[in-house]
Amino acid sequence: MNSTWKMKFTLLPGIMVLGAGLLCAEEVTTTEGTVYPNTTLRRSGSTIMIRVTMPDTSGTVEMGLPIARIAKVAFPEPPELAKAITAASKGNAKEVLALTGDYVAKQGEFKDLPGSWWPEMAKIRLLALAASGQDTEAANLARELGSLNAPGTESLSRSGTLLAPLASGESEAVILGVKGLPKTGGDQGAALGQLALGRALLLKKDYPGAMRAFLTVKVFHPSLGLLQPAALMGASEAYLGLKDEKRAAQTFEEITTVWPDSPQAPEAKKRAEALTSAR
Amino acid sequence: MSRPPLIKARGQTVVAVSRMCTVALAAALFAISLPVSSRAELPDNSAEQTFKAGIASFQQGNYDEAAKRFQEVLGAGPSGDALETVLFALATTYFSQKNLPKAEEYYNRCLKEYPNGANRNKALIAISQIQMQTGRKADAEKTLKQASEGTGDLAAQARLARSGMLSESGNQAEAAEALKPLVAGGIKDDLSVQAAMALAEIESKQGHLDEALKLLDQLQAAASLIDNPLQLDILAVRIGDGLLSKGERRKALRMYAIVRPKEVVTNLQKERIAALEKRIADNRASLQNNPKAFMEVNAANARIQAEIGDLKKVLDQFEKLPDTAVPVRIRQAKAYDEMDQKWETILIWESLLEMGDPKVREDALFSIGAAYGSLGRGGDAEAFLDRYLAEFPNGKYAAQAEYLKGAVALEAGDFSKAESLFGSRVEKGNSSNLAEDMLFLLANSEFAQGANPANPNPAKYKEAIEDYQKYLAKFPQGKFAEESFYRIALCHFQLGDYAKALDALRTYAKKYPKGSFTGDADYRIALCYQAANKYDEVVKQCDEWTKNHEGEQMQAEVLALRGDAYAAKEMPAEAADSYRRSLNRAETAELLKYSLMEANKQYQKLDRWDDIAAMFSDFAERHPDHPAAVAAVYWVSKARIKQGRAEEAKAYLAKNILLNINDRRKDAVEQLLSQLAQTCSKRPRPPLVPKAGAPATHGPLETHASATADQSPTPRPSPTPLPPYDAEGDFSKYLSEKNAGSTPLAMARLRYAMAQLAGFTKKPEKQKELMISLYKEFPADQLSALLLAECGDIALEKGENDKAEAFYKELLTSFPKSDLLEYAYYGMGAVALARNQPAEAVRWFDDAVEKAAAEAKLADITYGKGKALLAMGKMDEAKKTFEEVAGNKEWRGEITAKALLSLGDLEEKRGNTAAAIQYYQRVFVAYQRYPALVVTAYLKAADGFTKLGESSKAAAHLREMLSKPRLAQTPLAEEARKKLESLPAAPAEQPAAPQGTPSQGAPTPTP
Repeated sequence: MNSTWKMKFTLLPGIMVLGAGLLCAEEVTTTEGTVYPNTTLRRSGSTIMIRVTMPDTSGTVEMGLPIARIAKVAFPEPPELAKAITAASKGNAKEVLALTGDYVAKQGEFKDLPGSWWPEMAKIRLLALAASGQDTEAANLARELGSLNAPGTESLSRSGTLLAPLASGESEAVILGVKGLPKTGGDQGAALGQLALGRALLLKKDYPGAMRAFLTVKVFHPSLGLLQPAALMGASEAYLGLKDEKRAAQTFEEITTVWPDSPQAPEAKKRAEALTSAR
Repeated sequence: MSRPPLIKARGQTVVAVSRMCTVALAAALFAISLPVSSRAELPDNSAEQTFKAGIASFQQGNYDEAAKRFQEVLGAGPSGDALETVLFALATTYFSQKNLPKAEEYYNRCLKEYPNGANRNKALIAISQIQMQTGRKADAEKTLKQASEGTGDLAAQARLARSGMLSESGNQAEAAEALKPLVAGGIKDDLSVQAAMALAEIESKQGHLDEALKLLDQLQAAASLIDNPLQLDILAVRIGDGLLSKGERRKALRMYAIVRPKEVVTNLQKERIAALEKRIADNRASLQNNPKAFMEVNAANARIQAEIGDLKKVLDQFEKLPDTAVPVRIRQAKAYDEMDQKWETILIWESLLEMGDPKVREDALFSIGAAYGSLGRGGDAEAFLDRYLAEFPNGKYAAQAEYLKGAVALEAGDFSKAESLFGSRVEKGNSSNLAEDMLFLLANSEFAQGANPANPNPAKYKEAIEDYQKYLAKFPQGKFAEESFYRIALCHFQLGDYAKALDALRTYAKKYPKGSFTGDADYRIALCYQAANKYDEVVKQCDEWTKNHEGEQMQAEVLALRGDAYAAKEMPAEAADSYRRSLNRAETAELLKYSLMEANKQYQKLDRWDDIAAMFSDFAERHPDHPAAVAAVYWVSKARIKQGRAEEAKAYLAKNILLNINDRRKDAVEQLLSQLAQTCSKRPRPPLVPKAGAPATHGPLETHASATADQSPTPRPSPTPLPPYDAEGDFSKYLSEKNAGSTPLAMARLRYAMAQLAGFTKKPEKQKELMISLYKEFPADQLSALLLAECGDIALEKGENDKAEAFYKELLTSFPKSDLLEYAYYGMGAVALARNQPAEAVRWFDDAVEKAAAEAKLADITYGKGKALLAMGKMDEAKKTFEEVAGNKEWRGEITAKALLSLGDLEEKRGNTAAAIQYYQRVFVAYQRYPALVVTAYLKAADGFTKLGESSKAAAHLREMLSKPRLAQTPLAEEARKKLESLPAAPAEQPAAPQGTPSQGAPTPTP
């Protein structure tokens, strides 16, 4: 206990990926309150092998801890996360995908550890995939996220998996799936669900329904920058379906001006110009 | 509507500070609960035991006993870390006892003896609390400043508390500076949430709304960390209101969106409390494995319990308050409405309806109806207005709702419904301030039914006259009195009762000599004379009109009418002059076209080709975007050719092409290119009649023209054979890379023109080659609509689906109004089909019909849809679709043969081979013009017979096919030969072909 208490003050400065399957953590706290600082982790089934430096001998020892006995692992925050959040606030899905790709792919092994940053990185990546129309990839990631049963991921995972039927054009499945999700309430899953619903209804040419779903993202989830351009793009399509070219053009312009870094911006610009010149 | 009141923010900072205090003290308790042996050097074992007993008493809340024990330990003379621990433990015990002077004394002693001790910050924070509680705010602030200079959570908490004090004392700038470091690393924990909340509040107080907005955005993203959602809501509303008052609606709306319905917030808070309670239970359960951690677990649970207490307090307060979301949503709805974002307005009002607050129901129902009305969605508007009227028949918007229903119907072109709505309200004896409007609109809806071009109902004019007269009787000085007078005259005019119309128009003109409709009335007076064939009077009235209304909007119409009168009088020169004058003043596309073409007719009668050329040339220059502009260029070139100035005509075409060759949106360029290619494809002919004094030119006509009547006929020499005509050389004199430039679009268009020329000069191979080079060499985003459609089709034919898709997508995206969109929709469907995505293909084909109103590609689209349905296994629908294609006489040709083949395939899929064979036979019997399809049909029929075990019939069909030289040379013929060889030896002496038509050998199809 004494040594543990002292060890708290010898922290590693940042995350260090040592190689495939190895990861450094600032400290590991067990459900009994034992703290192992300055550890290297690797996984072996449902056991996490931690290598601890012994303070008295300076030697290291590797010990196995069942995941169920780990209360928290203090991983240093991946520096890409803050950058991805900034890019997301600008609707820049492409940059978010670039920033999160490596981490989500390589750190999946430790994703179910309490304190892992993987769910956070995966959540933002999932939104970016959905915003870029990479529905199949998004649905796969949503399933992976859902398998964690981590707090705050359930509704996002549920709405993300709805993108799979969307990719294969099964709009009814999406419509049915969204019914179980909240519409508002500041939840990312609610917003993603509405985006999927809008796209499903667009396929069915239910333009008023699609409009409501897309604009729900705009009206009730405006700070979710990643989904805004995709939702506005959908709203523009719905306006066109409703023969409201004026509002369609205005919405395309809104994408261009408010979300210039989004993947939708170049096409929106082109279409706004085309509609304006056609008028 | 006045702005609804919001609940007031109440002591939020105090809550934060007191919470901080709780946390700090809990942390202190945790510290003294640590095993003494780890850090202190107590004199002996008995002192250590006494210290432990003191801790135990403290934990049990027996502070007197604890103080006594700690004093005993102190009396034993501890040193080093142990002394610091004992002093701090004593101070904390006195603090808990509310013995503030003693507590302050021991905290100060602790600090004095251990200025950099482990408990420094805890002691400073505790002292600041004592100073606060004893009214020494300035001292407290200084003490907190000292505490906040360190690092760690306690320093951060001190910073937070100090900032609260500074803010309360009005020193917002310094308070903000104190907080900024706490949120610099993002919002990741409870402390940074508290700091961001406090900072956002301070920034909003300072008017730094953008900074506050950024913080609230961050906070919303970290919503799961926020344990006081009410505080977040209040902040969001305050900042939103600030932004709204500055006219920054978009930003305000972002803030308002943070506010969640009460039910949502309550549930979240309950979930959070439940999660903390579970943590306490889990902690207790963990003691079974590790009983030694009793002290730590207890301390942690005490901390969590305190947090739960705070959360419950907030929840309790929150539940007693009205729902903040309601007034906020109303603000949102109004803001969206002011921005003319009607769908967004509807969404907000619908969310209010869902909240179930009866106070907003009336406003919500009416507002949704009104918003739908503004969007021109009559059905939706009516549904909500009806709901409103059913629930609030005497509501504050009842009259407006009735009026709106009628107005929406009128706007939507449902005039009879508008009439019925306004009529029933008028009949009920409407006494609202909208009664006058309703009576007038009732008459207008009747008038509109009379004038409805889709379904004219002239009898309605009579009803309109009656209602306009009722209006004039009831509201003689009403705001629509003049218009009612005028419309009565119009009704007579529209009824063809020109005598009454003339009287009414004259009455109107007399009553309102400077009225809004006087110009129109005078014009219609002239029209009445025109209807009576009194052309001189028409001309007189038109001239009168020009005198009285010179420069008014209708002048061009009046001049066109004058032209009509002269034309009727067979005075082409005067008529042409009037039409030309009308053309110079006309603004609408229709009138421009009418005057242009009528003037053209009159000039042709006069054989004035110079005038025709000048008029069209001027028109093309002034109205380059008019649909008739291409025709104008054509007429100019035609006039020049007529005048024997073919070179000039071509040069004129080239000049007009070059004007827009780099503008991909000018569809006319391709038409003109085609025209130039066609003109250049033939050797120019000399004029039929050479101009007087024109020098003699070569050619047979020239010879004929030079012969004079008085000369004795001499034998006509054979004309000198002309050198071969070089169409391409001629074309390049007018248009080539030299003058067209080298932009991709110009080059592509030039290539297209050359392909057209090859077509006109009957070089199909070259035409094909040039068109193929187009799709291969030019990027989609550089091409015009026509070229995109062409390139897409070629790529599709070549099986290059990705490339075809790129062309079609570009056409859809960049030319959403193009007449060629049906090509893109069809092409996308065909690409999807080629990729085996039939469901998507059906959607594209449906879009081609619904969105692009397909005509030219309708046969292909219908056939494509049939193929897609077949691929989806929807046999009945597919069959119906193929039969539609096969049965359409207008489409008869290759597409019919394809549909028959597909019908055969469909039957084959169903296992009905005999029926399939019949369809295949219909192809090779009736569609020999399409050898590729015929060969396929033969092969399939032969396969069918083989499947049925009738190999002799199969062989007969194959032999018949191979006996036809045209079919025997096709690539599939080899396959037929192989099949024939593989069949059981058919008697060679049998006739090669089946008797009569091959269908005679067909089996009886399965019913």
